[in-house]
Amino acid sequence: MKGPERKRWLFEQIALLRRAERALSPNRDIAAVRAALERELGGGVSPALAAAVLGVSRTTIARWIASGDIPAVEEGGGRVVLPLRSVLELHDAVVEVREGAAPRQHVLEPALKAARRRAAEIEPSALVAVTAGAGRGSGDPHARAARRSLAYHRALAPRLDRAMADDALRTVWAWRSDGRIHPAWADRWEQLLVGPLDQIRAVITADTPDAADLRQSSPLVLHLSGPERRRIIEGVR
Amino acid sequence: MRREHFEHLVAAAAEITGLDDLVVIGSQAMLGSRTDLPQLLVDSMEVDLYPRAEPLKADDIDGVLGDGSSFHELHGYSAHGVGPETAKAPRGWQERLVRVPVPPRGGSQRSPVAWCLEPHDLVLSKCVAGRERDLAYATEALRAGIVELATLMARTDDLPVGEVARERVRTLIRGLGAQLERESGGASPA
Repeated sequence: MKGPERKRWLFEQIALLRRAERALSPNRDIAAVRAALERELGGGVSPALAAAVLGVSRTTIARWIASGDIPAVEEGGGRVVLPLRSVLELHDAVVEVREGAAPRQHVLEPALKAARRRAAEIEPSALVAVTAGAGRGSGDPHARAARRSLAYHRALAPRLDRAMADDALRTVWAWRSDGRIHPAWADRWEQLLVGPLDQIRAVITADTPDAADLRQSSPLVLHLSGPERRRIIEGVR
Repeated sequence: MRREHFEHLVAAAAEITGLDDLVVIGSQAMLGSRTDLPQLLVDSMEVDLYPRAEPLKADDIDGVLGDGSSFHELHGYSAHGVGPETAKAPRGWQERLVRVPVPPRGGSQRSPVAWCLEPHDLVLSKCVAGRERDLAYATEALRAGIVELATLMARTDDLPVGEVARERVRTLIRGLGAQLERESGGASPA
């Protein structure tokens, strides 16, 4: 099995493992197998593969990329890649709807609308202090990055659940395995993410230097949608 | 962060801003001076940078390459758009930036160049920040022979902070020197 056929098979195996993981407590061995499959897939999905696994046309994928509903990265040479996590989340929505009592024809629009609605409900000034009379470029940029990071986590905290915390824990394991996180920070995150949800929320939303440092290696920030992130970037200047 | 990740971020920032010259401050600037670096000096998975000619365009970098972006999700590393005011480095630091040409991204017509904070200026900016991990960074840079005590001490006079803070930095540097001397059994780290 090679080429596109292999990539589709890899995606489907990853999706199955992801479903299995959600039914179990975090397991390092399963996470390691999934990480190996993700590495072979390349960490991202082409628009063509995304269309195939989501059951929509390439035109639809292109439209959603253009509207910002689906995140995409332009790599060298004009190649566009969709982050794997985002496509997996949409795939979950497809499976959920198609296994439902009354399968609908349009399966992804509700998920995309829900993401846009969540973003519209975010009021950045309620999350962090936004610079008064802020225009483009006002304030120390490094402090602005820290305030945005705090805002991202305060936006995420209300919907943090055990599934999100477990997924973040698996992300830390993968980063540690790939050498993409300092071991000390990996230890901190691993210890935090297996603890009570209200403790996680308290730490990730704290406006302290230590919490700000911890957030710089946060695996939770990947759970923010593109629309939510854009709303916060525009609002925190 | 590996050298190829650093180069990828600089090249991507050049594409996004349409500007080739990017100033890199923060810990990853050390990658501009050396390739054989102790792990502690390149542990961070983010680069702080801004376009040299138009610093305000740094905000575009945050949007596309920042925390939680699609780029970050896909590659596992990210960039912060910062500005010249972020670098609490000694006067004259902009003239001492280390020029590092970076390979452009496939199909790009750009010629990205990273202008990296010189190691002594970088270590001194860390000493000004003074957090535990900043001091660990400074210690490791001294221990690896990347920076010299005498040069660090000489440039403290030019730090853009008050005299009390400068003296704190001098005390800190003297303390690091003494610590390394003890580690080496009396031989000065220079």
